[in-house]
Amino acid sequence: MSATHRPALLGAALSLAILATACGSSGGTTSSSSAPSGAAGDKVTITWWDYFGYSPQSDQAVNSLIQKYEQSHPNVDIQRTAIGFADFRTKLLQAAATGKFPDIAAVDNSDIPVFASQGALADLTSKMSAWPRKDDYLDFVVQSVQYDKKFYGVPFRSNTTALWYNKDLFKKAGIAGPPQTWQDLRTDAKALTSGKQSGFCFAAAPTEEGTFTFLPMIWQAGGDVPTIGDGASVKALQFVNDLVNVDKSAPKSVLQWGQSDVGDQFGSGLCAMMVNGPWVLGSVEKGKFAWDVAPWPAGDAGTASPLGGEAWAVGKNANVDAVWQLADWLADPANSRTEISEGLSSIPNRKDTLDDPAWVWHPMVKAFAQQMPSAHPRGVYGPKYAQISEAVWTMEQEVLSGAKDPQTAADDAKAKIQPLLGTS
Amino acid sequence: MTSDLTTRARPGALRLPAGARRTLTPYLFALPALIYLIGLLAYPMVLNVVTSFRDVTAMNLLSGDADWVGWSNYRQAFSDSQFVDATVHSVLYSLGSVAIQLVVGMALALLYLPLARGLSALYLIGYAIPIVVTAEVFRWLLDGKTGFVNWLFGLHDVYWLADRHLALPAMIGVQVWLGVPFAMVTLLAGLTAIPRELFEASAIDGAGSGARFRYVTLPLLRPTILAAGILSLIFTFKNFDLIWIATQGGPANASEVLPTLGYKLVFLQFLFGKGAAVLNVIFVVLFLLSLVYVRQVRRED
Repeated sequence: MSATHRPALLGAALSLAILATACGSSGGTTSSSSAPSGAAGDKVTITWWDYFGYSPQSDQAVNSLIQKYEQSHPNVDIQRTAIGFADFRTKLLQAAATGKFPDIAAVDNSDIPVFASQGALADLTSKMSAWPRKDDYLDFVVQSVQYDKKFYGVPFRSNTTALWYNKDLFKKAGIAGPPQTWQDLRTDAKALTSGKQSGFCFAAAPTEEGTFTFLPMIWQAGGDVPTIGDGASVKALQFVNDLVNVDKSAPKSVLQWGQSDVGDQFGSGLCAMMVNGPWVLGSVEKGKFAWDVAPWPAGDAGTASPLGGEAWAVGKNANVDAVWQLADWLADPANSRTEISEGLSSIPNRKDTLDDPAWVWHPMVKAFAQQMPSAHPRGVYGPKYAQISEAVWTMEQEVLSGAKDPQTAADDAKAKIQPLLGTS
Repeated sequence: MTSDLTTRARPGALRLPAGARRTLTPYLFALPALIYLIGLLAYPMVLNVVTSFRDVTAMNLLSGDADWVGWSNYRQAFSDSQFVDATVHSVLYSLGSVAIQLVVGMALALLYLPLARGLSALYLIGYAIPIVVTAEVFRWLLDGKTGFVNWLFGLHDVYWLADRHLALPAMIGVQVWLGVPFAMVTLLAGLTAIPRELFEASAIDGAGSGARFRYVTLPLLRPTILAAGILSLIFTFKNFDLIWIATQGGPANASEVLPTLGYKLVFLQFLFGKGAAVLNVIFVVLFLLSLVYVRQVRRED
C-alpha cells in the first residue's frame, strides 16, 4: 500500500507548492513589453478582460459590444479574455505584478483603489475632468472611480440591492404592502415566520457578500465605516441580532448564506422577504408565486443601499487614447443600452437614465432605480477595503453567533478598522 | 536502456572514461526527476519562505521592493488570535476526525472481514464523490430548518454549521464520513494479510475474541494503523475545500483552520507575507508528518 500512496503524498506537497507559487510571484519587473498597441498597419490591439462569461446572456452582451465597436472602428482589434469571477482579482493582480495588466478591464468598483495604489492603472484625471459625460452619472458613481483625488477608472455598469417580497405570502398574512421602516420590517418578518418559512433572509456569510449586505444597515442607522463603534453601528448590529436571535424571523443559517443561497431560499418560497440584487432574478422566477421589489426599509437615517457593479480600469501601459475612445463609446447609451441593461442585468446609474422607460428591461428595474440614488460606494474606504470588509463581516458574525454583544463586537471591529483607513 | 545510452554516447564529443561514465549514468537518470522536483517543488517553496520574511502586499507587488521584515510576519501571525484559533481548530479537526475514523474504520473492517471485497467497493463510492458535492450536500443535510439530520433525530432549530459551538464538531463529522472508507479499506487490507493460523493457534491456546484482538490483531496491524493514521492526518490537516465550501471558516471563525486562513490572507486580502507565514506553518507540519510516514514505511520494509 505504501507505493500506491506515495503519489498522494506528493500531491499534498504539490498543492501546497502551487499555493506557494501563486503567492510568491513578487519581484515582477515593470517592463512595458505588454500591449503591442499601434503595431502593424496602424491596427490598434486592445486587450480586454472581464468576468461576464458567467451566463450565455451576459457573455453574448459583451461580445455584441465588442463586435459593434470593431465594426464601427475597423482599425481596432479587441482581444477579449473572459475569466471566472472567483479568479478574476487574483489574475489581475498577477498580471499587474508582471507588467501585463490588460489595456481595459471591468473591475468591481470597490477594487479600483487596490489596483490604483498598486500602480497598475493609468491616471485618467485629465481625460475624466474634461469629459462631458462625467456629469451625467450619479455623483457616487463618479466618486467610485476615484482614488487619492485622482481618476483611475471610467463608470461602466451599476447595480444595487433592495427588498424582494413574496406577494402571495404577504396576502396570506394580511399584510398590505412592503415594510417602510425597520420597525415595519421586524413586525412583518415576525408575522411571516412559521414552521419552515422564514420572514426575512439576507446574506451574512463570512465573505464580502456578508459585508455588502450589512453595510447598508449601518448607513441606514446613520453610521459609516470610519465611525464603526458608534451608536449607529451598534444599532445596526442590534437590529440584525433582533431578527435572527430574538424574533427568530431570520434563520441562523444566514451565517453561512451568500446571496445566491438567499435567492434560492426566496425562490423556493422558504423566505417571505429578502435583500438581494437583480442578479438572482433567475432563482426567483423559478418560484411560481407573485413577487415584487421595494426599496430597503428606512432606518433612523432613511434608506441606503450598496453600489455594486463594475468600472473600467485602464492598464498603465495601455494606449490610453485608443482605450479612452473605446470607453467613451461604451458610455454612450445609443451604443450600449441594450447590452448593459438587459444583457448584463444592470440598473441605470445616470441622472438622465434613472427614469428612462427604455431602461426598464424588467418591471423590477423601477424599484431598483428608485433605490439607486441612495447607494453608497465602497471604494471610498481605500485600498485596504478587503481587510476592512473582513472586520465588518466578522463583527456581524460575532454578534449573530452570540460570541460577542453588539457593543463589544463594534469596539473590536473599530480597533481593527481604524489603522486600515486612508489612502496608503 | 543502459546499452542504448552508451551506444548513443559513443559518437558524441564528450568522451569519458568508462569508470566516470558508470558513476555518472545513474545521476543522469535521476536528472529529469531532479529538475522536476526543483522546478515544481523546491523553487516555489523557497519563494514562499522568502515571501514570508518580506512585507509583500498588493501595493508593492508590482515594484517588487517589499521590505525585509525578518520574523515580523510570523510574530504578527502568532500573536493574532485568529491564527491561534485556526491552529487549535486545525489540530482538533485533524486529530479528532482521524481518531474517530480509525476507530470506526477498524470496527467496519472487522465486521466486514468475511465479506470484505464486495462491500469495500461500495464504501469507496462515497470516497469517490467530489468534495464540492459532498460539502454542498452536507450544507443542505445539516440545515437548521429544512435539514435531513434534524428531521432524522427529531431536532428543531439546531443550526449545525451556523452555530459557533457546533460548526467544528459538525465538520469533524463530515470529515469522518469522508475518511472512514479510506481507513476501512486500508485496515481491511492489513487484516487480510494476517495469517489465519495465528488466530487458530491463539484460539487453541484458549484466547477469547477480545484477547485475540488485543494480542494478535492489534500488534500485527500496528504498522498499517500508523500508516493509515499519518496519511489521514496529512490529508485532513491540509484540507481546504470541504471547510471552505461548507462554512468558509464561519460562523465568527469557529471553523477557521490554517488552510482557509492562509487562503483568505493571500487571495482575498492580498497580505502575501503574512499568508506565506501561515502556509509555511502548514508546510512544516506536513513535512514532519511526511518524515514520520517515510520512516514508518522504511521500517515496514
